[in-house]
Amino acid sequence: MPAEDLSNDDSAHGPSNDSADGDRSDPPVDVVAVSIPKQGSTSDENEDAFAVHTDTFPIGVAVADGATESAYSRLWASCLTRRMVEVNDLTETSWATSVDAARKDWSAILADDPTPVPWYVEEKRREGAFATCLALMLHADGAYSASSVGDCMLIQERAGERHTWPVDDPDAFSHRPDLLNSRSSKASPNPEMHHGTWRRGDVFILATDAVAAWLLDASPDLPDDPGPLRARVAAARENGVLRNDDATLVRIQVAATPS
Amino acid sequence: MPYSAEISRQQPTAFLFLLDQSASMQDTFGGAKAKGDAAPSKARVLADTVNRLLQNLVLRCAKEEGVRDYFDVGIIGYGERVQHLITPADEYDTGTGLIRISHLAERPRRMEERVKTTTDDEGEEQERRVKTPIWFDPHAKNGTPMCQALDLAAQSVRTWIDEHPSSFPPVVLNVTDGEATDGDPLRYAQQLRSFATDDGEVLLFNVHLSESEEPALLLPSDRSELPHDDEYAETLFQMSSTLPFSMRAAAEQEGLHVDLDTRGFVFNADPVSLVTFLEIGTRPSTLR
Repeated sequence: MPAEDLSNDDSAHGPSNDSADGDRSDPPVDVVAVSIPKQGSTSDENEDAFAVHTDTFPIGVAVADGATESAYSRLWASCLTRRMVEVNDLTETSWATSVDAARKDWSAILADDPTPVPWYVEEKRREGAFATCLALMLHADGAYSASSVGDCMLIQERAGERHTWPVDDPDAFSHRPDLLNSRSSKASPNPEMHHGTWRRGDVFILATDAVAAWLLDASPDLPDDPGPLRARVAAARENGVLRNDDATLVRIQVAATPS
Repeated sequence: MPYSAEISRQQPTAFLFLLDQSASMQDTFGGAKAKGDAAPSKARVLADTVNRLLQNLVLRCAKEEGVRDYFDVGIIGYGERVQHLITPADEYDTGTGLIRISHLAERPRRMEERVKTTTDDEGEEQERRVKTPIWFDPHAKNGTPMCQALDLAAQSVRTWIDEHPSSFPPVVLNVTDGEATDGDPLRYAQQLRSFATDDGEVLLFNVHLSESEEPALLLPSDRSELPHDDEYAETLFQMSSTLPFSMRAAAEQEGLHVDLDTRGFVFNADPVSLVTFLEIGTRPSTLR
């Protein structure tokens, strides 16, 4: 398993590792993450997952959204995100390697469970779980890569400008997204790939679909601290502008100046 | 917008199947005899199809910790008798004739081993024996008391709606191979469709199983698409609700053309179009 600063709990704030001289070998980033279950569900039933690796470059961040109609989706989303942040580069090959490793993790955990299961759980295990996933990797040289299957979203903000990827239409989220299956690599969708550069002061946001649709539609200002951020997401849902679904948002701020 | 209520454990929806069990269901689908096939009866195909559909409904709700009650389900058979074919244990009796999907999952009449083609971890197809739940068996005798079936369905959904006033409304799927022998079903259909939750009126869809070799007419939008001078087709068309958004989307995913006037109706259904339609008709809004 990768060294990681944060992974799923309800909300978390990762301390930055600001370097004294701006040396990019010591990542100067601040990470805030919020993940809340759909209304009517418990936090144990939240099928979104995220993982963050910020100890050293490359910085890795991933979010995944397990499908409601599959079983063990939360486990699958968790296996995917953990494997996604432990690679050194994001390429189609490394993506496939990470997904394969996650499939083995998922199967091994189920194989280790000796509990007899009823016919419908047996069938669901055979079908496997389904999830969307998006991963981001920031490299020390100022380049970044992103990979995605499905409708999670990446936002890059710089000096008031905002770029979104791979979706930019809030209505796009009503369609059935591509999904990764935990059992079979057959017909597994290839990831979409995206490359860019980052600078000090940039903000990256990774979001699962319901949050992504809200961010595209309403362009809200998001607080830096986990408590207020969580409250903002909860209020948007309460007001009906964020649909009732598991909601996950990870915000990564690169420090504006070396401390 | 109607038919947009989210489906959750706090706010489930209901599926009620009305299945023709008249004597003519002993016959095979249209064209099978002419081709000399050793074809199963319509009653057998329908029982297999609905058992498989119930299994899929359970699987859509099944999580590692158990089956979530997103759906209540009922089956009314009409032929020799008009009756609910699946009944709950006393402690789970909701008084509607519908039973919770988690209870259905625990109460198949028996488990049969069937050979099924599945995909292994490496993506290779292989045949394996899987345990398959069976909730009911084929039956075919006497006439087609469709009006009584629609009336019993109306009683069930009315009581269910009293308990679930904000839910996505019940979906009633009627599968028949012949004309009603106990009156004018249109009147009973209109009564059934008049009941509503805050999210919309009860949806009634109709599937007519083929006795001819004519191709299936799937999801018509206009009377002009019906066979000419066929009063029976006209009646079933009028009895059928238009498809709500989520089911139009499901139909489009099956490659079918739909518009705002598309009715949940299949005439001259063969086994394939029966399965296709039941899959579309059981796709209400998203589960939460």
